[in-house]
Amino acid sequence: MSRDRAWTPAAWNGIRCTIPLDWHPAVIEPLFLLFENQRQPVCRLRWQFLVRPRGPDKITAAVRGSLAGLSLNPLPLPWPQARLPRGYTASSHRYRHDRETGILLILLSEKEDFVFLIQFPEPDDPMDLLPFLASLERQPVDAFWEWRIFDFRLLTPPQARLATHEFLPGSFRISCTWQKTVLTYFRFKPADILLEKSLVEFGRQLADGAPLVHAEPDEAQWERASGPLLSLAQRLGRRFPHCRLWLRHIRDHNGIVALRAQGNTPLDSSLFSRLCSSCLLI
Amino acid sequence: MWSPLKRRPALPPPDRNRSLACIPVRHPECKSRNNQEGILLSYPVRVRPLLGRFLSANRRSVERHLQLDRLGSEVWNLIDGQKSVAAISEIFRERHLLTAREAEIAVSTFLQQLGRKGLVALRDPEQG
Repeated sequence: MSRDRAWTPAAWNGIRCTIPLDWHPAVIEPLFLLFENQRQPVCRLRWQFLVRPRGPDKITAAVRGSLAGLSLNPLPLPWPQARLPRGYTASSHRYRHDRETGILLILLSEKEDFVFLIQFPEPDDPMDLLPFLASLERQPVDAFWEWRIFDFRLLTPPQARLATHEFLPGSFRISCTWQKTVLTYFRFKPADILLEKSLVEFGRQLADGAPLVHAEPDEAQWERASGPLLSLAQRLGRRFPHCRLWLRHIRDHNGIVALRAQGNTPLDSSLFSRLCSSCLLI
Repeated sequence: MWSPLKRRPALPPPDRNRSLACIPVRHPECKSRNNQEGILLSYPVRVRPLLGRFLSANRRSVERHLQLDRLGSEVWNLIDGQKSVAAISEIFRERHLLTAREAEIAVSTFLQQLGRKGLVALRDPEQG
């Protein structure tokens, strides 16, 4: 690995970092990312809040016990502590599991009861990984979270929780719940194949029956706002009384991004606009 | 995948390269029909044995339908019992100028979903 490699930002479910351009997410779970380079794992990253306070030794013991056949041997920290994320106690181990060996780094914030477990299978030169480690951060709970995965970038409101995510051919979907509103972000690609008719025709399938309220060649919006009686009827029909969908065709990237907000109460317009403008293809 | 909070079952880690080498095979009783949106799949689903006891023999299976969009239909058409998951991902990547990883995640998630519905099975070429 060379030290003059190109780097790109990545962000997923509350964490943010900078990764080498040749790392690609291969497994994406709510609290876990596996990065690969040429089909070889290069980094496994897990993060979570601890249910109860634990010191580094207990974390190590828990990691050891979590995987049968895993052996851990303490290793002097291969990176200068000062360059690692602030506020974390770092401990490193050499691990062996199955036929794989490598370095396990535990970054523990005892103040916030938060832990990063980072596994590097056989890094050529651990110092090459320093920019990644230095950039690793947990996004503040009370701030808008940034998400960047593949070419999709978006923001979620503070304390939104990831509900489901799906990466299917041509369509990515990230769904979050926020104050009883379901926010679903979509990314469709390639638009030239998917938009056989028009953006409005395409969006109608996502609009959950909401009427079209605004249409431009590259942007459209649907909105359903039900009164009290209709709300009740919609809820009995297992439909959200309030639904808002925004869709934009980004021609430069041959893609479409969309945001749908569904809930029992309407979502604030300025917040919806802010979330829509955050949806980008990069 | 490690968790410091709970003990996970001692399963061998899945070998991704091996899964990518597997060959998806269509359900032999699944019928496909082209329509405006893509391909409509029709497949039989057996009624649960407990309920099946109370039904006549010809009602013990029901026909279900699944509408695939354009891109899903493309992947479905690539499933020929010869191409591996990796080969299908590669063709899909080339056609749509995606990154290899993006195509791989998308195609494998799609095949998983079809697998859950029993529409495709994966054949391991090493086991024949």
